[in-house]
Amino acid sequence: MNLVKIVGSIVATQKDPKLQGSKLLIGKEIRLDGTMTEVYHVAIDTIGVGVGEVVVIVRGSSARLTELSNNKPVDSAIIAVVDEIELDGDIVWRKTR
Amino acid sequence: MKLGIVIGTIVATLKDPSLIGALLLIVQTINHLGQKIDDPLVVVDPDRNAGPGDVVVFVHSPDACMAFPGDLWVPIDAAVVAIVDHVDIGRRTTLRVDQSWK
Repeated sequence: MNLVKIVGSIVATQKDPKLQGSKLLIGKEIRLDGTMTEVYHVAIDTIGVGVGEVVVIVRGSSARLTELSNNKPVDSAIIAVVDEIELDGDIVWRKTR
Repeated sequence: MKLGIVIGTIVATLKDPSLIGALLLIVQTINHLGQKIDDPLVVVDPDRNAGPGDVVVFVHSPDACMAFPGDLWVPIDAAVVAIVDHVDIGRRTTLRVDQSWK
C-alpha cells in the first residue's frame, strides 16, 4: 500500500459499464517528508475523499476487495484517509481541517 | 514475504470498515543485514503487535488479507505476519533485534 496525495479527479463518460457511478481520482505518490514524487496513480474512491487529501491506496487484485469495488475492473483503490503520520516519534504530516 | 523495519505509524479515522481496529504502519524494507532497500510502504498490522523499531516479516501480495482474523476478504496488499528476533544465515547471525534498534 502506498501514500498518495489526491491532485485531481477524472471524468470519463465512456467507460466499462461496471465503472458507471464510480469516482476515479488521480493522485501523486508522496515521500515521507511530504514532498511529491512524479509517480501518478488513478484509483477508485471507495470512501469519499477530496482533492488535497493524503490517502492510502491498495494496489493489485486486493483493490477489488472493498464493497464498492467488488467485481469491478480496477487495480487501485483508496481505502483510508490519513490524519497523521508519525515518524521516529515526530508527527511529520497532519491533515489540516 | 519480505523483511522490514517499522519506522512510523499512520492515524486514519476515515477508512474502509473492514480495517477498523487494525494498525497502519510505515515500513522500510531491509535485507538480511538490516540495510535499507526500496522505498517505504504502508503495511497493516491486524494484531496491533508491532511498533516503531520492530523488524517484521510482512506479506506483500493480495494474500496479505489472509493475515486478518475472521473476514477473509479485506482490501489490503501488505500485512505483518511475524516480528523478528534475529536472522541467521548459515551459522552466522546477520541481524539481531534488541533495544539498540529502538
